[in-house]
Amino acid sequence: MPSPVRSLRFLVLLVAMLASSRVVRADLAVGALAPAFELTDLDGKPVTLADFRGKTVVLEWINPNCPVSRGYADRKVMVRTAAAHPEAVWLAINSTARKHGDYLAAAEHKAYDVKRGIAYPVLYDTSGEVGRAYGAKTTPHMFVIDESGKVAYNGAIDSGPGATSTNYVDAALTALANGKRPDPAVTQPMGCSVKY
Amino acid sequence: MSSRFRLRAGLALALPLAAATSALGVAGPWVENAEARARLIGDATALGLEFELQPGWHVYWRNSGDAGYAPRLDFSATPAIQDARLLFPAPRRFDLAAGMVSFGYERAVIYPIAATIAPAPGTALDLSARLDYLVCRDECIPHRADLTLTIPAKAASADPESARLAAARAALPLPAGATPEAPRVSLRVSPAADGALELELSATGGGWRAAAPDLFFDSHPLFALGRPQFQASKSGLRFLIRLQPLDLTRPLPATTDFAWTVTGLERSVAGAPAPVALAGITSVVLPR
Repeated sequence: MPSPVRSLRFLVLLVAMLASSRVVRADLAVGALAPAFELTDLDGKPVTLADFRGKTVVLEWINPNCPVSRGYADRKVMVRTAAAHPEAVWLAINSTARKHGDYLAAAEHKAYDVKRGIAYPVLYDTSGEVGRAYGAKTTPHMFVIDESGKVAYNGAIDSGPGATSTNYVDAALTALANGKRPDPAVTQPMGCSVKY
Repeated sequence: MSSRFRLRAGLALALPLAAATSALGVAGPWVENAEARARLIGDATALGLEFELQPGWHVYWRNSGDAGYAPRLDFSATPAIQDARLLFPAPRRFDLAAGMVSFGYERAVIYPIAATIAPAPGTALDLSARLDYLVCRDECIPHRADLTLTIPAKAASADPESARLAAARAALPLPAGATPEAPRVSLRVSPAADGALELELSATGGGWRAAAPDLFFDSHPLFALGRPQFQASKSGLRFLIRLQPLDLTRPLPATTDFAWTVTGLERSVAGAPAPVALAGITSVVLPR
């Protein structure tokens, strides 16, 4: 028979663990190892982060039904940034829950991507597990992973609306290509919340 | 005028009429969409950006939290307005899915605008500004609006817009130390029991009662700030905030600035960025 104190402690721990698994983890620090993942693309083909070991990888949290994410896609901001950096692998991740109204089935997602010139892989993370592991909060939310598999940049694609916007991801990729650390390495992501 | 924005009449009545001054206050035309509408209000000496929002929708504080972004107003098309920046009323907290949180306003808000207004004696002042803002419910919609406002040359009579702008300005968080009634606030960073960094904000003294205190921080370049844990004590208020380093590749500096806003007092109080010692703190728990 377990002591009441011990079972209570276990219960508290259990509740905390259950709660934490459903919660977006605190921010993934620059310099931390990027969490491994295995997801499937819109064709159901598996894609893992390990596939790109030794390369710079950009992760873009995407949601075509989020007007902020869609606005960037319409203006081809990500597509242009990706094209300017052929040395980097660009992956979009859609963490929208299947039951959320924003969820987009593969056929519609493909049509959306084709229309906007998005040729890079889009990966489904409908359980939200990968989004939570990265602390992905918004669409868009950008992570740049360096060749050693560590997070080199975490934040917004750019400094936001307005004529004087700075493309942080472009700057981060340029810095990495020149053997430098991105600066800024952390910015505040801006957009719709990820629909976990 | 659209019947969807009925709350305005009630709101105007609720504001203190005693604040009315002799300055002529005017309002520019609303620029409206399905979620919200925005306009400039002002007089010869003060300007504001006013929003009214449909139920459930909100706009943001300067730190929008885990989603959103604060409105941006660009006066570059109006040379008479220089160094314009929005001032932010005390925010409230909106809990989102998956433990995320954002900070902002619902129903209606006036952001007073700090600016240098070039005097143009005897002539009307035509202002135009480009507004970029995000309005969110569960979904978020970015909007752009070109706002205009003509401030007449001569003041004719007191106007409710001046009073409402004055009231919004008067309700801005009070700078810490501005009044003896406000509690004195001190901040300290130390390792928590588990080794993670923790920021302690304690507020003591002063004559104000705290009804439902809450604490907001400007976004911080070095740390992700956890949700403030509030503890009431006889000597005052105490908040504990977990700090998670955002960048493990750079050593922590000797000091760092925190800018904070405490709400739920009789007046909200804000502390300008002030250095807090980090020196000697090495016990950092690395992220899982």
